[in-house]
Amino acid sequence: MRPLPPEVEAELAGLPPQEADELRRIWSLAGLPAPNVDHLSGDLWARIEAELDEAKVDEAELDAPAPVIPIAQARSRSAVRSTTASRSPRRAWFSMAAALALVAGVAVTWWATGTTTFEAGVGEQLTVSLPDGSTVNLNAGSTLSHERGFGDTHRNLKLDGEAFFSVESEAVPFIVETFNAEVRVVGTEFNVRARAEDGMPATHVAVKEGIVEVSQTAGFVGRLEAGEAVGVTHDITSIPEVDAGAWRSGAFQFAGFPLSALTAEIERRYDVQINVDPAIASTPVTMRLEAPETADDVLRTLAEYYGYALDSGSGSYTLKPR
Amino acid sequence: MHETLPFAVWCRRIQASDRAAFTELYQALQADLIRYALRVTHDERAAQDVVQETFVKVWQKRETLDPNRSLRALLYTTTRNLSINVVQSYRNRYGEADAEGLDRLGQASGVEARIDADRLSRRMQAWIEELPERRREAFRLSRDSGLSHDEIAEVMQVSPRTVNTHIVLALRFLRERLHAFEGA
Repeated sequence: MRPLPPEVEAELAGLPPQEADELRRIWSLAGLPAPNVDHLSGDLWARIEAELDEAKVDEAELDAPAPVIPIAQARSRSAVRSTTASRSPRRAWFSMAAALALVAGVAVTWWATGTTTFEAGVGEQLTVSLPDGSTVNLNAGSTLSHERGFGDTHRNLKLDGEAFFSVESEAVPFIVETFNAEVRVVGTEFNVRARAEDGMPATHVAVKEGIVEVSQTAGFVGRLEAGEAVGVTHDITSIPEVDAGAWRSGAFQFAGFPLSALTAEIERRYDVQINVDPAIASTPVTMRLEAPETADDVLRTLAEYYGYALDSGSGSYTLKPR
Repeated sequence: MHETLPFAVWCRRIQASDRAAFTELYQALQADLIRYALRVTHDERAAQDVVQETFVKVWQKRETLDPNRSLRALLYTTTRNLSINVVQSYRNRYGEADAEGLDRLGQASGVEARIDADRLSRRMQAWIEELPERRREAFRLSRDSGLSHDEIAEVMQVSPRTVNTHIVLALRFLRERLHAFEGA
């Protein structure tokens, strides 16, 4: 089914859950069954081509030169995006990224084997510039690694956790591997969330710009366009994404995730302990907060909205049904 | 709002007179555009002609295409204007009363008859028809054609905010109708 437009989804986020759900149901019911128009498109292209070829003869007589598109223009979109990237010299970035990572208080390990690992600890976020000019924002409690030759012979990354990618367009495919899925792109912006330990052991992919292909070990899963999202578990579910990678600007956003996945995220971001009553742990929750400063902000809103009881002690919280 | 990558890439290639890119664009959008033209004209022949003319027009002005603007919105805008022209000229020729003849023609050709027989979704379609014209158009372009708010804004010449208002109000209206129906 076609996902709800993000602008509408944002509006629904401010409504009582029951009302929002009803409006979502309306959206799913309101689709006009697409009539089959194959019998109309049959010879249509031939007709168009015939008309174009007719026009072409006239053009040839005019001998108009074909327009030249400057390479700079063709690349401009991605060039504007890369803020921390320096494309040359390629080797220099390694120390740069390392310095960047260390400033952020994060361990970078370059093993003799040639594996480079970036790790954003609990309560931290990290920006990584890759040798190909792509940029990655790594969310709290996440690890990203690649083998030697990244950007030269391959662009393969391994991700455990959550990251937002701004990928430079290049012929070499950019591949993000998670514990159960593979995301393949050319040039785009997208978010990958692979939390095997959460209540929902899924790889969640949301696309902000461009198109990516998602596959799991079982084979090809699908192609995602901007504004679409997919969760890879054992089944494919298309989820409307409000704003891919919103966590980078401090927003806290979950649509239809189990409560336990959300509390695990709060633990990672704010370095706190949260106990969730098993009776409510798998309840799907949807929430978005623009920039909550403390775990308290998030948990109070959550408890109030869904009618849970919230107890807090020294650095630990308990959520249970009221 | 950014345009999806293939459209921007197609736009640049088409600008450079790349016929293969133009073929890809056609294949990606032709069925959606035919359906869209059908919804406005209710006439299969007219819809075919409109979509043909749309693609020919876009090719003819390929050198002036702006890769920063939505190519998809341009195709829908062109299809919309040409479709409205068809309806308008039909009205001019046969008068207001007979313009419904176009509708009947469409039904006779089985387009409407192929609509899902499911009771609730049929009701829903009837309720959508009750919406004010502009609201219905914004809702259909979003729900059935899958255009982004920005693209719809360009096609309908309103702000994206207005598009959102139309769609949210349409959903609320349909919810009221559904409540009344399910409560009855």
